[in-house]
Amino acid sequence: MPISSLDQLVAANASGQSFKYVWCKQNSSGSALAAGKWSNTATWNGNPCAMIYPAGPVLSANMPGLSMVSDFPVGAPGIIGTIPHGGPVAPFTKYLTCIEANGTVATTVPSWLVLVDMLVTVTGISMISTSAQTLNHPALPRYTNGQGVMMLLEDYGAASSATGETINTTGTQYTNQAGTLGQTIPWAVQTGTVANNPSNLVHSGATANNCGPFLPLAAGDTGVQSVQQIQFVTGLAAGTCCLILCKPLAQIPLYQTLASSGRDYIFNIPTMPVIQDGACLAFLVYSGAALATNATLHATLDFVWG
Amino acid sequence: MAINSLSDIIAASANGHSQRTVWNKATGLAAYTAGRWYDTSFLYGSPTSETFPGTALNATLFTSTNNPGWMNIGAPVSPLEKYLVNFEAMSPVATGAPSWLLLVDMLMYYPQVNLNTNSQQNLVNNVSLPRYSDGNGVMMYLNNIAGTTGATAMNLHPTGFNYTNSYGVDGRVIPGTVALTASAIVPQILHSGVAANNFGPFIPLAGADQGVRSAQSVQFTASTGLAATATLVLCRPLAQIPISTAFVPFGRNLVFDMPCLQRIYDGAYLNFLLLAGGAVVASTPFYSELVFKWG
Repeated sequence: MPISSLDQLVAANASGQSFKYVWCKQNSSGSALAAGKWSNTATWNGNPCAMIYPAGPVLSANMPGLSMVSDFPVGAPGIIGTIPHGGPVAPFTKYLTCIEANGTVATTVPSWLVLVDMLVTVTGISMISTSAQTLNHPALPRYTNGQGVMMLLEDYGAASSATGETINTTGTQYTNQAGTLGQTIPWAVQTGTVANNPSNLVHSGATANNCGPFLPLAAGDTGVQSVQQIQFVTGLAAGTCCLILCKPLAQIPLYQTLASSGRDYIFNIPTMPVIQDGACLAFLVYSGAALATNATLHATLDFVWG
Repeated sequence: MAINSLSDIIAASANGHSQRTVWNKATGLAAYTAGRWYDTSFLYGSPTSETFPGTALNATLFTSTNNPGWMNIGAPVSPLEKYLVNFEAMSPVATGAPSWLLLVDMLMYYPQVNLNTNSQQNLVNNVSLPRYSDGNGVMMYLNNIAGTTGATAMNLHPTGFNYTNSYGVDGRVIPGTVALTASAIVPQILHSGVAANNFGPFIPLAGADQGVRSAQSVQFTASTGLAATATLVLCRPLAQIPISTAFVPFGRNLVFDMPCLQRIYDGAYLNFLLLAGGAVVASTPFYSELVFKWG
């Protein structure tokens, strides 16, 4: 029973089939985050609380990972710290209708927020090792064919060192949206050109061969179903990251300190993203300036279902 | 009976099922601090200043008769249903912009929380939420309503601040450090600001909690050292509007611009929370015009 007209949208809102969330996160990574780097705000403190990814066996040859489903209700298996969106609504379909966002200090602008649905995470990936690290994560809980699903590596743990680390193009293998195994990234993405701090997406940045927020896919690929292995070329002195498979849903720019930006996904940017039951929502942030420690970002998100 | 279509909105307008409210508040005698949130219900203006009457620490409902700061949203319309369809806001003073106003439906409060003690203060719940009764989407904040807080660093107590979430699970605690701002003036939301572990406008909830049904106790890690009193407020956010430039009214159309038409229940107590974008000078006015329709 999807919303298929303006009248149905009005009726859904009017009948209370909606949810508004006020999001507030503070850069609690312990360091300023460099301009040009992407970071995952999910692990920052605030509202919602910091997300803690399930522990994976460090340096294991077979890292299990976890399928990410938001925690409804409390006590049920799932992930804490995802952006609330009103709970499950099936057989209705839920949509994101608006985001408004701002940053409270000068270093929060300019920046760019990308809302993603986090699907699978695998922790404990060593950036020290140059061996192929085999992953064996569960199937995608949503967007199961992988269409539009992208992969990223997030610094998770202590800050990593910088020695010009690159991702091994042949040793990093995934299965694409068509189910083709053994796909490889098309070029040697740099991860350690500069040191990464917790929450940084390690392959993003403003130097040669950085790429963000997502790892590039092989030519013709439009998504990822699963990742089979990760391998680095050089090996850092220190560094642990996690793999996240996620689906980008919406984005909003921040231009000026405390001057809120608004995005209406019905009329202004008419993409009307569907929010699936169990979605684990989080914002990735692309810092236009050195995002100071404790810098705070706010956003409101509006959801409607019908 | 409800508005179910664009045609219903036009019909409501044509039938005179409409209420226009002009809201005006002026900040107090001290300047505000950029990056902090403030509760405008306490400010003088139209409606008048809220006093948060009631027995100390006892859950009290916001009502049009009990609370002087009730915003005029018009008479009850049941069995029809009322909605906020658009609103504008502006400030005529340079330091009033940029800022951000968040409209909330104030539901229930616990008056006279003592900020000058680190003992646990147990709350009494003889009433429950009058709207959004399961607490889904309902959030909490602590405002300072009497006395400037001292310079002592103090946090919400990690285990002594307890609430019941919207699933009915009690004993919930805050998920990490939540720091209160030192030397906070009236009517600052105490846990907001730009220092480490300041979060605003709402107190962070544990785990995947989506709302609050009630609170059971309040405790701080230290006493503020001065006589100061706060109110713990439970409210539900409804809509927001930025003020980007002084003297330029900004508008929000909740049907076509930011389509999140909001139901306004009979008797609802509406209030704006203000995020100061600059050092808002004393006696800075803020204006808003809100348009409600019912059908």
